[in-house]
Amino acid sequence: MRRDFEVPDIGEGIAEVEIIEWHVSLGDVIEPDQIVATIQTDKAVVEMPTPLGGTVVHLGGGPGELLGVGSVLISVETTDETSGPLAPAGTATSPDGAADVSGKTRVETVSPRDERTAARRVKAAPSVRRLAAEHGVELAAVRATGPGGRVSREDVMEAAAEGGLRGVGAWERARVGPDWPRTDIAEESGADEHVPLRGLRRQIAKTMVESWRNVPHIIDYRDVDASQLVEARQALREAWPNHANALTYVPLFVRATALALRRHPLMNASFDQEASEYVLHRRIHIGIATATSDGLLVPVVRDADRRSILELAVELAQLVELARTRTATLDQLTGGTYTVNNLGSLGTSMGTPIIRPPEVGIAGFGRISDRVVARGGVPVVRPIMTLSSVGDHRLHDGDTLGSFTSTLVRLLEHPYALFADLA
Amino acid sequence: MVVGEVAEGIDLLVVGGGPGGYAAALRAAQLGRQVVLVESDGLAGLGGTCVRVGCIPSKALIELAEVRHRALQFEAAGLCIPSIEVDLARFQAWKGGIVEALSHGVGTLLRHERVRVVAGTATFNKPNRVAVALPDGNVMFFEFRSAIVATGSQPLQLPMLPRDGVRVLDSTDVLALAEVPQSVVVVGAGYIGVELGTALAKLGSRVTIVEALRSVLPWMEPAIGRVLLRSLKRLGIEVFLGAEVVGLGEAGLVVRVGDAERTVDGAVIVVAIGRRPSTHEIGLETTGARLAPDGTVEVDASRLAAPGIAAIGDLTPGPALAHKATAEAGVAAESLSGLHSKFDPLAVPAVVFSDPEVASVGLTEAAARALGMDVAVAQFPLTASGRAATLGAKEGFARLIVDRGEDAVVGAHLVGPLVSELAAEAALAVEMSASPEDVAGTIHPHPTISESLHEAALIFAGRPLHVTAGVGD
Repeated sequence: MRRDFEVPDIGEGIAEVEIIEWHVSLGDVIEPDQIVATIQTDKAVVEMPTPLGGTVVHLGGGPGELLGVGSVLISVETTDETSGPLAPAGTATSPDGAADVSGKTRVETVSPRDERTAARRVKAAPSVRRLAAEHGVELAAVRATGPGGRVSREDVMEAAAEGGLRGVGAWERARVGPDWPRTDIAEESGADEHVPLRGLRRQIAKTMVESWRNVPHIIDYRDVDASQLVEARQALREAWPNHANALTYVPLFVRATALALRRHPLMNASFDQEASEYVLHRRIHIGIATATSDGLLVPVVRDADRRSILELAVELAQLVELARTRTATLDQLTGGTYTVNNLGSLGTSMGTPIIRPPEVGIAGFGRISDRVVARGGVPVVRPIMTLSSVGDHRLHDGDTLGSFTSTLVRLLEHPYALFADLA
Repeated sequence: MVVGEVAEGIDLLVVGGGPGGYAAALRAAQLGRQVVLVESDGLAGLGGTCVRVGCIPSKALIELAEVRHRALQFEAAGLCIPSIEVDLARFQAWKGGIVEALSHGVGTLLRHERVRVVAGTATFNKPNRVAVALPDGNVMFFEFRSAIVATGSQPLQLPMLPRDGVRVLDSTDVLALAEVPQSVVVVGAGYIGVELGTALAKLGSRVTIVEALRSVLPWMEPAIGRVLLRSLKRLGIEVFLGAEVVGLGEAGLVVRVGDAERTVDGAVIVVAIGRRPSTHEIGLETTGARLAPDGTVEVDASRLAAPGIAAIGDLTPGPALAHKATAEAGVAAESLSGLHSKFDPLAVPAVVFSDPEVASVGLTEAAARALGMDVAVAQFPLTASGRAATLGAKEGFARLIVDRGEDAVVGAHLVGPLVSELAAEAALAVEMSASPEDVAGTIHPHPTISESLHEAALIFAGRPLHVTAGVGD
């Protein structure tokens, strides 16, 4: 009996999903609850299980193809007599299946293992171990198909395709020098490589083109004297040594931005060209531009203006980690009303961030570096940061953008206000 | 003074020009990094302890001693040489030529990769900043994006026996001797003590070795120590085990063995009790790196000790061996350059140029049992090897340690002539998790000492050829 499994409605208004990768092929015999594919929504990567057991006779599309909710993802030939399309997991068949398909991705936690015991128990040639390290694959977790239980190169590549660097995440990344960009220098072969746009990259390309084409950007650049900001951050770290790693400048930027947005509601808005209106948001949800191995993601801190700096620091650290490991939920990746981009973490001193519609503003915080500035007619060295405050010119003019930016600069230069103003 | 403290921004800093440091610099340069290598002795220091005062010069001395010894040994086989004189002054010139050529070669490689070599002593004073004291007394500062620390190690001293370079020597002094001392007391029966003691005995010195522990090469498979002890005695070397150094007296070195004190006379005392990582006074703690009580730096699998800073070689836990440093160098350079790389060997082979030679690879039998493996041991005696007989070997063996659960070779321990060259084959077997059957199924050339590994594997396979031994467990 042939049975179909349809793309489930995973909520959040998602109408279609993209197939990233199949974990089964035509003719494979699968078991109920087996992960059959990796799919991607606008934001999240989801490992998709099905309640079906039997022989795979149909796949709904190839990698990169888009499937609408309700269309057939996979069909199997079963031996039992039940017929008709099967309800998606979570509606009837599997009471706990809902969580599997609700947009929450499989959480992959990889703990740093003792290198000797980990390596000791896995039979793999040095070349295979190197390959695994390059692809961020934990050898102990790889299914070994080689002779005598050895992990083969193919086993590693298969594991890399399934998870790979996603599972390594920030723990390992954090161990790389502060300024060194992660690029694969070793990737130097003669022939050009044609790489199809897939998943997150395709999504980013689409959104950015839309914004660049439709939104007239105006940018207000300011040089901010960060002397007090540097001191404040240091004082915070000393006050909460346990949270020293989380107390980067970003929580301070977010808090300053949130307070400035509260005073300038026109910047905390959505612009809707088709409806010829704009929406002023009462609540302030700030997105944080976050680099991941797959591309840019923007996890969102809700009600950022009502959080203390320490609360922000802790939540930001968690959100960024979830985003980097691609384990953030859709909820954590949507609903922002304004975006903060910490350009300085990449070493950029001045950038031009692009607005994420329907938002009407984005702020880029450049690297803080010592520069010579005039103070009272005398040249002095001060830590200076260039702020790029970007506005949508359809809604903002130089004066409204400028007054928001001035407030933001004032808060950054006198950060004690960030501690005082807690609603 | 503010002006003098302006730091030059650099990309990747390497501290130390030894087998760790120069290999790290070369790998980083291959990856497109701009590398500055700070070495306290500048170009003249390239190659480090290994090339200048360690592996290479000691092997030169051992070779000289071996030729003299063999010549005398082969009198019975028909070799007639009226007299053999050793001129250590000429040896020093010869050795110097070898060392300079190798060191110069390192400099050439670095120049080809556009690595800038700066002579000076580096001290970290911030997470990304280092002060370099130059030979002319000036100080310059670098601000780096990444750093690889490879400052190596120094010989340990005994507090009651401070080195004076005349009567009390360390290994570096021994390699620079201008004449063969009449009598020598070597403190320490680790690999350095055994190598130097053996070489000096073969050059004509009367040698005594005193060791605080109860065996020779105490960290090796115990059977190896027993073979070596007998061999040292055959060379006329007196060995005191469990002997504690009390101090230096008029007549010689005073040691306590059990309850009795005795004096061991020697024109020179050589202290070879181990090496200490050179991590003190280089300001590493200002980078956020953490030091263990033994002076080693805590590192992760990528050899990173702090964000952007790696430590390698004798600075990290594990044996202080050049090839370990070189392997870690590649990992560190890659990890700091955005590649994913791990130091995860199953075996760091160790070789000792004693007489007979020793090679130790992977787990000892005791270590394999401690890991809960189903251990089996097979051993082939070199007395059954034709090649060993022609080399005049009196005893020796090749021992394989196998994990029966995984059907894999996990260790190999050899003592016999030329076995240092077999360490690599054994290491390959361990790294590849070779089954004993893989080794048994590989044809080994006759007549070579390498057949001993093959024969040990044949014992596992149940078809021994030149012995009637079985597998022990």
